[in-house]
Amino acid sequence: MNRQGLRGRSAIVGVAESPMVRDTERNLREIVIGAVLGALEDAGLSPKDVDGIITDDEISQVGMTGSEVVGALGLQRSFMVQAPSAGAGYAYAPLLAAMALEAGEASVVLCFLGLEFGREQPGAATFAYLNEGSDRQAFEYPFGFAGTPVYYAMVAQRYRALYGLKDEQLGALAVSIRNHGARHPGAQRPEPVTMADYLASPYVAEPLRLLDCCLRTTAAAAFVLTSPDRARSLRRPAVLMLGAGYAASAVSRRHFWTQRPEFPATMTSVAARRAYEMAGIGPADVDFAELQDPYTIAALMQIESCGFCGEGEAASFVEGGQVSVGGRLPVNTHGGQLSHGYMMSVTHIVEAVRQLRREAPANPVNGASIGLVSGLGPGDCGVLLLGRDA
Amino acid sequence: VVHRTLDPDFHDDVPYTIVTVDFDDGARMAGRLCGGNPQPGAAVAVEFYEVDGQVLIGFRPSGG
Repeated sequence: MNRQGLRGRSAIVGVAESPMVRDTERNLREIVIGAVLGALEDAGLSPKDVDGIITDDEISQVGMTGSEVVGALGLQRSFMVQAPSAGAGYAYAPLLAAMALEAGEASVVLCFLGLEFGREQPGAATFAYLNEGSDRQAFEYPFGFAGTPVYYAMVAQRYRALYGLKDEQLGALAVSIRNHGARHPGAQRPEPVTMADYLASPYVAEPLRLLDCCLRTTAAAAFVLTSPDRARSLRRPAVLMLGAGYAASAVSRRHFWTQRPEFPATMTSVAARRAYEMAGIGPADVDFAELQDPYTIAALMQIESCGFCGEGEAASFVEGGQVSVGGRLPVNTHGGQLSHGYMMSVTHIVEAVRQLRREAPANPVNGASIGLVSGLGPGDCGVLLLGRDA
Repeated sequence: VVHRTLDPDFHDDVPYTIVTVDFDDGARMAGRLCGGNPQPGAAVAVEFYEVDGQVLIGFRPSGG
Protein backbone atom coordinates (compact mmCIF):
# COMPACT_ATOMS: atom_id res chain seq x y z
CA MET A 1 0.00 0.00 0.00
CA ASN A 2 1.31 3.46 -0.83
CA ARG A 3 1.00 6.49 1.46
CA GLN A 4 -2.13 7.78 -0.25
CA GLY A 5 -3.79 4.46 0.49
CA LEU A 6 -3.69 5.30 4.20
CA ARG A 7 -5.94 8.33 3.71
CA GLY A 8 -8.98 7.92 5.93
CA ARG A 9 -7.78 4.58 7.35
CA SER A 10 -8.01 5.62 11.00
CA ALA A 11 -10.71 7.55 12.82
CA ILE A 12 -10.67 9.37 16.13
CA VAL A 13 -13.72 8.11 17.98
CA GLY A 14 -13.21 9.35 21.53
CA VAL A 15 -11.59 12.38 23.16
CA ALA A 16 -11.28 13.71 26.70
CA GLU A 17 -9.27 16.17 28.72
CA SER A 18 -9.01 16.84 32.43
CA PRO A 19 -9.44 20.35 33.86
CA MET A 20 -6.46 22.48 32.82
CA VAL A 21 -4.85 23.85 35.98
CA ARG A 22 -1.43 25.11 37.03
CA ASP A 23 -1.33 22.71 39.95
CA THR A 24 -3.72 20.57 41.94
CA GLU A 25 -3.88 18.40 45.02
CA ARG A 26 -4.84 15.48 42.80
CA ASN A 27 -2.30 12.81 41.90
CA LEU A 28 -1.26 12.92 38.24
CA ARG A 29 -1.93 9.19 37.82
CA GLU A 30 -5.53 9.72 38.82
CA ILE A 31 -5.79 12.60 36.32
CA VAL A 32 -4.28 10.52 33.48
CA ILE A 33 -6.50 7.51 34.17
CA GLY A 34 -9.51 9.84 34.29
CA ALA A 35 -8.69 11.26 30.85
CA VAL A 36 -8.09 7.80 29.36
CA LEU A 37 -11.36 6.43 30.73
CA GLY A 38 -13.11 9.60 29.60
CA ALA A 39 -11.91 9.18 26.02
CA LEU A 40 -12.99 5.52 26.01
CA GLU A 41 -16.39 6.40 27.43
CA ASP A 42 -16.79 9.15 24.81
CA ALA A 43 -16.16 6.47 22.17
CA GLY A 44 -18.49 3.96 23.81
CA LEU A 45 -15.56 1.59 24.35
CA SER A 46 -14.02 0.04 27.46
CA PRO A 47 -10.43 -0.69 28.52
CA LYS A 48 -10.80 -4.31 27.38
CA ASP A 49 -11.27 -3.08 23.80
CA VAL A 50 -7.83 -1.41 23.71
CA ASP A 51 -5.02 -3.39 22.10
CA GLY A 52 -2.70 -0.63 20.93
CA ILE A 53 -0.95 2.29 22.63
CA ILE A 54 0.97 5.20 21.17
CA THR A 55 2.53 7.62 23.63
CA ASP A 56 5.65 9.65 24.30
CA ASP A 57 7.49 8.46 27.37
CA GLU A 58 10.41 10.84 26.79
CA ILE A 59 8.33 13.87 27.71
CA SER A 60 6.25 11.79 30.13
CA GLN A 61 9.25 11.33 32.41
CA VAL A 62 7.35 13.87 34.46
CA GLY A 63 3.98 12.26 33.74
CA MET A 64 2.77 8.69 33.43
CA THR A 65 4.34 6.27 30.95
CA GLY A 66 2.45 3.98 28.58
CA SER A 67 3.39 0.87 30.51
CA GLU A 68 2.19 2.43 33.77
CA VAL A 69 -1.23 3.03 32.21
CA VAL A 70 -1.22 -0.53 30.91
CA GLY A 71 -0.60 -1.74 34.44
CA ALA A 72 -3.16 0.54 36.05
CA LEU A 73 -5.96 -0.49 33.68
CA GLY A 74 -4.86 -4.07 33.04
CA LEU A 75 -4.72 -3.45 29.27
CA GLN A 76 -3.93 -6.19 26.80
CA ARG A 77 -1.98 -4.97 23.85
CA SER A 78 -0.49 -6.30 20.64
CA PHE A 79 0.85 -2.93 19.47
CA MET A 80 2.79 -0.40 21.54
CA VAL A 81 5.07 2.30 20.16
CA GLN A 82 6.82 5.45 21.23
CA ALA A 83 5.77 8.36 19.03
CA PRO A 84 8.57 10.70 17.95
CA SER A 85 9.01 13.60 20.32
CA ALA A 86 6.09 15.17 22.04
CA GLY A 87 3.68 17.32 20.07
CA ALA A 88 5.11 16.20 16.75
CA GLY A 89 4.51 12.59 17.66
CA TYR A 90 0.93 13.05 18.83
CA ALA A 91 0.08 14.83 15.56
CA TYR A 92 1.62 11.88 13.70
CA ALA A 93 0.01 9.22 15.95
CA PRO A 94 -3.22 8.87 13.89
CA LEU A 95 -1.09 7.84 10.90
CA LEU A 96 0.86 5.32 13.03
CA ALA A 97 -2.52 4.05 14.19
CA ALA A 98 -3.74 3.72 10.59
CA MET A 99 -0.68 1.61 9.73
CA ALA A 100 -1.28 -0.64 12.73
CA LEU A 101 -5.00 -0.95 11.98
CA GLU A 102 -4.43 -1.74 8.29
CA ALA A 103 -1.80 -4.33 9.13
CA GLY A 104 -4.06 -5.99 11.70
CA GLU A 105 -1.65 -5.25 14.53
CA ALA A 106 -4.28 -3.40 16.55
CA SER A 107 -8.01 -2.72 16.45
CA VAL A 108 -8.36 0.10 19.02
CA VAL A 109 -5.45 2.45 19.67
CA LEU A 110 -5.14 4.71 22.71
CA CYS A 111 -3.04 7.90 22.84
CA PHE A 112 -2.67 9.97 25.99
CA LEU A 113 -0.46 12.55 27.67
CA GLY A 114 -0.21 13.63 31.27
CA LEU A 115 2.08 16.44 32.40
CA GLU A 116 2.79 18.12 35.70
CA PHE A 117 4.73 21.08 34.33
CA GLY A 118 2.88 23.42 36.67
CA ARG A 119 4.41 21.77 39.71
CA GLU A 120 7.58 23.32 40.98
CA GLN A 121 10.25 20.74 40.32
CA PRO A 122 13.76 21.09 38.99
CA GLY A 123 13.90 21.62 35.26
CA ALA A 124 10.36 20.60 34.38
CA ALA A 125 9.39 23.87 32.75
CA THR A 126 12.66 24.27 30.88
CA PHE A 127 13.03 20.65 29.72
CA ALA A 128 16.37 20.62 31.54
CA TYR A 129 15.94 16.88 32.12
CA LEU A 130 16.26 16.36 28.36
CA ASN A 131 19.56 18.24 28.27
CA GLU A 132 21.58 16.33 30.87
CA GLY A 133 25.04 15.64 29.49
CA SER A 134 24.22 17.08 26.07
CA ASP A 135 26.39 19.31 23.91
CA ARG A 136 23.68 21.93 24.34
CA GLN A 137 24.65 22.04 27.99
CA ALA A 138 28.29 22.61 27.01
CA PHE A 139 27.96 24.99 24.07
CA GLU A 140 24.71 26.91 24.56
CA TYR A 141 23.73 26.86 28.24
CA PRO A 142 26.83 28.51 29.80
CA PHE A 143 26.17 31.82 28.01
CA GLY A 144 22.57 31.95 29.16
CA PHE A 145 21.18 30.59 25.89
CA ALA A 146 18.92 28.36 27.92
CA GLY A 147 15.21 27.74 28.22
CA THR A 148 12.57 27.77 25.53
CA PRO A 149 11.64 31.48 25.77
CA VAL A 150 15.23 32.35 24.91
CA TYR A 151 15.33 29.88 22.00
CA TYR A 152 12.10 31.16 20.50
CA ALA A 153 13.11 34.79 21.10
CA MET A 154 16.15 34.13 18.91
CA VAL A 155 13.87 32.62 16.25
CA ALA A 156 11.65 35.71 16.41
CA GLN A 157 14.65 38.06 16.16
CA ARG A 158 15.89 36.18 13.12
CA TYR A 159 12.42 36.25 11.55
CA ARG A 160 12.25 40.00 12.24
CA ALA A 161 15.64 40.59 10.60
CA LEU A 162 14.69 38.56 7.51
CA TYR A 163 11.09 39.63 6.93
CA GLY A 164 10.13 42.36 9.40
CA LEU A 165 7.94 41.69 12.42
CA LYS A 166 6.14 44.35 14.45
CA ASP A 167 5.32 43.94 18.13
CA GLU A 168 1.67 44.57 17.17
CA GLN A 169 1.75 41.61 14.77
CA LEU A 170 2.85 39.14 17.44
CA GLY A 171 0.30 40.93 19.61
CA ALA A 172 -2.51 40.38 17.09
CA LEU A 173 -1.88 36.65 17.18
CA ALA A 174 -1.66 36.58 21.00
CA VAL A 175 -4.93 38.54 21.29
CA SER A 176 -6.77 36.28 18.80
CA ILE A 177 -5.66 33.04 20.45
CA ARG A 178 -6.11 34.25 24.03
CA ASN A 179 -9.59 35.61 23.33
CA HIS A 180 -10.58 32.21 21.93
CA GLY A 181 -9.44 30.83 25.27
CA ALA A 182 -11.39 33.52 27.13
CA ARG A 183 -14.62 32.16 25.66
CA HIS A 184 -13.75 28.47 26.16
CA PRO A 185 -15.11 26.80 29.31
CA GLY A 186 -12.06 24.52 29.61
CA ALA A 187 -9.35 27.18 29.46
CA GLN A 188 -6.79 27.47 32.25
CA ARG A 189 -6.46 31.26 31.85
CA PRO A 190 -9.77 32.63 30.52
CA GLU A 191 -8.96 36.34 30.94
CA PRO A 192 -9.73 38.38 27.81
CA VAL A 193 -6.74 40.29 26.44
CA THR A 194 -6.57 43.56 24.46
CA MET A 195 -3.72 44.91 22.35
CA ALA A 196 -3.08 47.46 25.12
CA ASP A 197 -2.76 44.60 27.63
CA TYR A 198 -0.37 42.88 25.27
CA LEU A 199 1.85 45.91 24.75
CA ALA A 200 1.91 46.54 28.52
CA SER A 201 2.97 42.95 29.20
CA PRO A 202 6.64 42.71 30.28
CA TYR A 203 9.34 41.25 28.06
CA VAL A 204 10.58 37.78 28.95
CA ALA A 205 13.12 37.60 26.13
CA GLU A 206 12.73 40.27 23.42
CA PRO A 207 10.61 40.43 21.37
CA LEU A 208 8.59 37.87 23.35
CA ARG A 209 6.47 39.21 26.19
CA LEU A 210 4.77 37.33 28.98
CA LEU A 211 1.58 37.17 26.87
CA ASP A 212 3.53 35.53 24.00
CA CYS A 213 4.40 32.59 26.26
CA CYS A 214 2.62 29.33 26.97
CA LEU A 215 1.20 28.32 30.31
CA ARG A 216 2.55 25.75 32.73
CA THR A 217 -0.07 23.08 33.24
CA THR A 218 -0.78 20.01 35.33
CA ALA A 219 -3.40 17.99 33.43
CA ALA A 220 -3.99 15.09 31.04
CA ALA A 221 -5.73 14.50 27.72
CA ALA A 222 -6.42 11.42 25.62
CA PHE A 223 -7.86 10.25 22.32
CA VAL A 224 -8.87 6.86 20.94
CA LEU A 225 -8.68 5.61 17.36
CA THR A 226 -10.13 2.71 15.43
CA SER A 227 -10.81 1.72 11.83
CA PRO A 228 -13.27 3.86 9.85
CA ASP A 229 -15.67 0.91 9.52
CA ARG A 230 -15.79 0.25 13.24
CA ALA A 231 -15.95 3.99 13.90
CA ARG A 232 -19.21 4.21 11.98
CA SER A 233 -20.79 1.66 14.33
CA LEU A 234 -19.87 3.69 17.44
CA ARG A 235 -21.87 6.37 19.18
CA ARG A 236 -20.07 9.54 18.07
CA PRO A 237 -19.50 11.03 14.59
CA ALA A 238 -16.21 9.64 13.27
CA VAL A 239 -13.39 12.06 12.52
CA LEU A 240 -11.07 10.67 9.88
CA MET A 241 -7.29 10.97 9.58
CA LEU A 242 -7.03 12.34 6.04
CA GLY A 243 -3.27 12.72 6.03
CA ALA A 244 -0.28 13.21 8.28
CA GLY A 245 3.40 13.88 7.97
CA TYR A 246 6.46 13.94 10.21
CA ALA A 247 9.86 15.50 9.58
CA ALA A 248 12.78 16.38 11.81
CA SER A 249 15.99 18.39 11.67
CA ALA A 250 19.22 16.58 10.88
CA VAL A 251 20.42 17.47 14.37
CA SER A 252 19.87 15.55 17.59
CA ARG A 253 17.02 17.17 19.44
CA ARG A 254 18.96 16.89 22.69
CA HIS A 255 22.09 18.52 21.48
CA PHE A 256 21.75 21.88 19.77
CA TRP A 257 19.21 24.54 19.10
CA THR A 258 21.46 26.79 17.02
CA GLN A 259 22.92 24.21 14.64
CA ARG A 260 19.87 23.39 12.57
CA PRO A 261 20.56 24.11 8.91
CA GLU A 262 17.03 25.43 8.36
CA PHE A 263 17.23 27.88 11.33
CA PRO A 264 15.05 29.83 12.02
CA ALA A 265 12.53 27.84 9.96
CA THR A 266 11.47 24.35 11.02
CA MET A 267 10.74 21.12 9.20
CA THR A 268 7.00 21.79 9.49
CA SER A 269 6.85 22.67 5.78
CA VAL A 270 8.10 19.17 4.90
CA ALA A 271 5.66 17.50 7.30
CA ALA A 272 2.81 19.64 5.91
CA ARG A 273 3.64 18.73 2.31
CA ARG A 274 3.56 15.03 3.19
CA ALA A 275 0.22 15.45 4.97
CA TYR A 276 -1.37 17.37 2.08
CA GLU A 277 -0.05 14.81 -0.45
CA MET A 278 -1.62 11.94 1.46
CA ALA A 279 -4.92 13.76 1.85
CA GLY A 280 -4.99 14.95 -1.75
CA ILE A 281 -5.88 18.47 -0.65
CA GLY A 282 -4.15 21.83 -0.20
CA PRO A 283 -4.07 24.64 2.35
CA ALA A 284 -7.09 26.35 0.74
CA ASP A 285 -9.24 23.34 1.71
CA VAL A 286 -8.52 23.74 5.44
CA ASP A 287 -11.25 25.43 7.50
CA PHE A 288 -9.30 25.96 10.75
CA ALA A 289 -5.89 25.23 12.25
CA GLU A 290 -4.86 24.14 15.75
CA LEU A 291 -1.13 24.92 15.84
CA GLN A 292 1.12 23.98 18.73
CA ASP A 293 1.93 27.38 20.18
CA PRO A 294 4.53 27.32 22.94
CA TYR A 295 5.19 30.90 21.81
CA THR A 296 3.30 33.13 19.39
CA ILE A 297 6.26 33.12 17.01
CA ALA A 298 6.03 29.32 16.73
CA ALA A 299 2.38 29.48 15.68
CA LEU A 300 3.09 32.40 13.35
CA MET A 301 5.83 30.51 11.54
CA GLN A 302 3.72 27.36 11.27
CA ILE A 303 1.01 29.40 9.51
CA GLU A 304 3.41 29.94 6.64
CA SER A 305 5.07 26.51 6.92
CA CYS A 306 1.63 24.93 6.47
CA GLY A 307 1.15 26.95 3.30
CA PHE A 308 -1.60 29.31 4.46
CA CYS A 309 0.52 32.22 3.17
CA GLY A 310 3.90 32.73 1.55
CA GLU A 311 7.31 32.90 3.22
CA GLY A 312 7.59 36.03 5.33
CA GLU A 313 3.87 36.83 4.97
CA ALA A 314 2.53 35.37 8.23
CA ALA A 315 3.19 38.55 10.20
CA SER A 316 0.60 40.43 8.14
CA PHE A 317 -1.65 37.34 7.77
CA VAL A 318 -2.46 37.36 11.51
CA GLU A 319 -3.52 41.02 11.61
CA GLY A 320 -7.08 42.33 11.59
CA GLY A 321 -8.76 39.33 13.19
CA GLN A 322 -8.01 37.06 10.25
CA VAL A 323 -7.03 34.21 12.60
CA SER A 324 -10.01 34.70 14.93
CA VAL A 325 -13.21 32.69 14.54
CA GLY A 326 -15.10 34.37 11.70
CA GLY A 327 -11.82 35.32 10.01
CA ARG A 328 -10.00 33.79 7.06
CA LEU A 329 -8.33 30.97 9.05
CA PRO A 330 -9.36 30.55 12.71
CA VAL A 331 -6.26 29.47 14.67
CA ASN A 332 -6.30 27.74 18.06
CA THR A 333 -10.04 27.96 18.67
CA HIS A 334 -9.64 26.61 22.23
CA GLY A 335 -6.99 29.14 23.25
CA GLY A 336 -3.96 26.96 22.48
CA GLN A 337 -1.04 26.67 24.85
CA LEU A 338 -1.28 30.40 25.50
CA SER A 339 -4.54 30.25 27.45
CA HIS A 340 -6.13 26.79 27.22
CA GLY A 341 -3.31 24.70 28.68
CA TYR A 342 0.06 23.15 27.90
CA MET A 343 -0.62 19.62 26.66
CA MET A 344 1.75 19.56 23.65
CA SER A 345 -0.59 19.03 20.67
CA VAL A 346 -3.05 16.71 22.42
CA THR A 347 -5.67 19.27 23.44
CA HIS A 348 -5.28 20.76 19.95
CA ILE A 349 -6.37 17.35 18.60
CA VAL A 350 -9.24 17.15 21.10
CA GLU A 351 -10.43 20.61 20.01
CA ALA A 352 -10.16 19.78 16.28
CA VAL A 353 -12.25 16.64 16.80
CA ARG A 354 -14.92 18.60 18.68
CA GLN A 355 -14.99 21.25 15.95
CA LEU A 356 -15.42 18.61 13.25
CA ARG A 357 -18.17 16.86 15.21
CA ARG A 358 -19.84 20.31 15.35
CA GLU A 359 -19.87 20.12 19.15
CA ALA A 360 -17.17 22.65 20.05
CA PRO A 361 -17.99 24.07 23.50
CA ALA A 362 -17.14 27.58 22.22
CA ASN A 363 -15.93 29.37 19.11
CA PRO A 364 -17.58 27.06 16.54
CA VAL A 365 -16.16 27.30 13.04
CA ASN A 366 -19.37 27.21 11.02
CA GLY A 367 -19.54 24.43 8.47
CA ALA A 368 -16.01 23.21 9.23
CA SER A 369 -15.21 19.93 7.51
CA ILE A 370 -11.39 19.87 7.48
CA GLY A 371 -9.01 20.92 10.25
CA LEU A 372 -5.22 20.95 10.51
CA VAL A 373 -3.29 20.19 13.70
CA SER A 374 0.43 20.78 14.05
CA GLY A 375 2.80 19.53 16.71
CA LEU A 376 6.32 20.59 17.57
CA GLY A 377 9.06 18.83 19.42
CA PRO A 378 12.61 20.09 19.83
CA GLY A 379 13.47 19.87 16.11
CA ASP A 380 10.62 17.48 15.33
CA CYS A 381 7.53 18.56 13.42
CA GLY A 382 4.23 16.82 12.78
CA VAL A 383 1.19 17.85 10.76
CA LEU A 384 -2.19 16.14 10.87
CA LEU A 385 -5.23 16.70 8.65
CA LEU A 386 -8.56 15.63 10.11
CA GLY A 387 -11.87 15.50 8.27
CA ARG A 388 -15.49 15.13 9.15
CA ASP A 389 -16.75 11.76 7.89
CA ALA A 390 -18.87 12.47 4.81
CA VAL B 1 17.66 40.47 25.23
CA VAL B 2 16.67 38.19 28.09
CA HIS B 3 14.69 39.94 30.83
CA ARG B 4 13.39 37.05 32.91
CA THR B 5 14.81 33.61 33.49
CA LEU B 6 13.57 30.51 35.27
CA ASP B 7 17.15 29.43 35.74
CA PRO B 8 18.78 30.57 39.01
CA ASP B 9 22.22 30.51 37.35
CA PHE B 10 21.25 33.60 35.34
CA HIS B 11 19.06 35.50 37.81
CA ASP B 12 21.85 37.99 38.53
CA ASP B 13 22.64 38.52 34.85
CA VAL B 14 19.33 39.84 33.49
CA PRO B 15 18.93 41.77 31.34
CA TYR B 16 21.54 40.20 29.07
CA THR B 17 21.83 39.68 25.31
CA ILE B 18 22.54 36.45 23.43
CA VAL B 19 23.75 36.48 19.84
CA THR B 20 24.23 33.73 17.29
CA VAL B 21 27.46 34.27 15.37
CA ASP B 22 28.28 32.77 11.98
CA PHE B 23 32.05 32.34 11.61
CA ASP B 24 33.75 33.06 8.30
CA ASP B 25 34.61 29.36 7.94
CA GLY B 26 30.98 28.26 8.33
CA ALA B 27 30.57 27.35 11.99
CA ARG B 28 27.83 28.94 14.09
CA MET B 29 27.76 29.44 17.81
CA ALA B 30 25.70 31.15 20.46
CA GLY B 31 27.31 33.49 22.95
CA ARG B 32 26.89 36.44 25.26
CA LEU B 33 27.05 39.95 23.81
CA CYS B 34 29.65 41.72 25.96
CA GLY B 35 28.86 45.22 24.74
CA GLY B 36 27.58 47.35 21.88
CA ASN B 37 24.35 47.05 19.95
CA PRO B 38 25.17 45.33 16.65
CA GLN B 39 22.59 45.12 13.88
CA PRO B 40 21.84 41.72 12.31
CA GLY B 41 24.70 40.81 9.98
CA ALA B 42 27.26 43.11 11.65
CA ALA B 43 30.80 41.85 12.23
CA VAL B 44 31.75 40.90 15.79
CA ALA B 45 34.96 39.78 17.47
CA VAL B 46 35.49 37.28 20.27
CA GLU B 47 35.86 38.67 23.77
CA PHE B 48 36.43 36.41 26.75
CA TYR B 49 34.67 36.93 30.05
CA GLU B 50 34.89 35.21 33.39
CA VAL B 51 32.16 33.72 35.59
CA ASP B 52 33.19 32.13 38.90
CA GLY B 53 36.71 31.55 37.65
CA GLN B 54 35.56 29.98 34.37
CA VAL B 55 36.48 31.75 31.13
CA LEU B 56 33.62 31.92 28.61
CA ILE B 57 33.41 33.14 25.04
CA GLY B 58 31.47 36.32 24.33
CA PHE B 59 31.26 38.75 21.46
CA ARG B 60 31.47 42.50 20.84
CA PRO B 61 31.09 44.46 17.58
CA SER B 62 34.50 44.57 15.92
CA GLY B 63 36.03 48.02 15.53
CA GLY B 64 33.45 49.38 17.98
